[in-house]
Amino acid sequence: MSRRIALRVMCVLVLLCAATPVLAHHGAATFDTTNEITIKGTVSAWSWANPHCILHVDVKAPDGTVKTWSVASSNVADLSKRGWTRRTFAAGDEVTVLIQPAKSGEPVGMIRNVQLADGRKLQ
Amino acid sequence: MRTGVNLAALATIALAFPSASSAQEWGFPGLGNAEFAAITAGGPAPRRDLTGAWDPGQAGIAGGDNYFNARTVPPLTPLGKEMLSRNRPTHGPYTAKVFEGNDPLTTQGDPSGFPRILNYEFRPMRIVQTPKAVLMLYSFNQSWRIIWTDGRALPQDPDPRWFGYSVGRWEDDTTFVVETVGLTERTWLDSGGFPHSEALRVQERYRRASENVIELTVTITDPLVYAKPWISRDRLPLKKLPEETDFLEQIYAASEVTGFKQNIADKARTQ
Repeated sequence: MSRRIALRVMCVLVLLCAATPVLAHHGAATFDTTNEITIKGTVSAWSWANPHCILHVDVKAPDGTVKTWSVASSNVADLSKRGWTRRTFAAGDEVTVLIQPAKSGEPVGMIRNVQLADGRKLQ
Repeated sequence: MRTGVNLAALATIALAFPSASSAQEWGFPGLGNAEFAAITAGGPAPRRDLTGAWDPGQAGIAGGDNYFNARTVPPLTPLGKEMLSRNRPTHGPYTAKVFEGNDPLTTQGDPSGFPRILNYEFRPMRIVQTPKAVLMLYSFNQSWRIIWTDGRALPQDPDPRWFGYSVGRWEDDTTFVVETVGLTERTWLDSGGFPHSEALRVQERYRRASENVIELTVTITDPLVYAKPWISRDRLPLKKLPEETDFLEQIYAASEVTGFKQNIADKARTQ
């Protein structure tokens, strides 16, 4: 399946993890809770919004093509409790994001954690 | 000067969560579990007084085991089952795929309405008492209610409203009881899609257990939808925040919920 292969090329690594209830919110029916993947790229936008904040990440494939992933986290209140702010990310920031991808195969998913260029990891 | 929180409690909060105790801090998002647990009962309950800033903590937000389910909700009537079948929640026991969701709050930006504001995303709130009313000011969706205490009766055959019509009375020196009717059936009771009709009547019982704790019990009575009355909040503790706490603004604006739908949910669609 070409999409699957492309996904593997694009991703820095693919992790197989046991399903956890962390994202019980939007459930296994839509996002792949058993096949978490890591994407690495450059932030193009950070939307501080409800009910989900959304990080847009440009991921460059080995052939130079760029695909923009849109990955969602929690709402502004819950993220604020965890130390995230509307200034956590700026366009151009390098990030590594562990996500649960959509089963649709489109470049969207739910964030598990984000590692910043300075090594800090946000849950 | 009455701050409502004794010094020991303030010190505890200060150690546990500095931003909660700093005077004139802006945008408090709510207590985490450890900070919530650190707030002790404090002194005795003041007489007929709910004034202050309050936080139900994580239990107010729902999630995990907090969703209503067949164990907590009585059997639905045939009409109730039909209404439930039309709802496509993305939380709870009847979770649909995210792209199928039709939660009026999270997919359309409708108000939470009442009593959903108490059952889901019940976040820090402020209570203000005036000579003729008690005001409930909710940080979530920046919404508010007036509970009339001037002795008026509930309206007969009211036009349904998102937050209904409420009257309250002190049952004793520590228990304030609120009755609410006239609620539009456009709102869900929670994020799990449990419905209600316009026959819904809600009773809230606020028991000032101590200086720093209110216990809230909410009873749902809707004979058109549920076989019998049921309790959606059972002595839910609200803990007192410093009086000067400024709340984070958390509004589910239509433009933002649409953004999630367009950027994430629609693209997650599978056949």
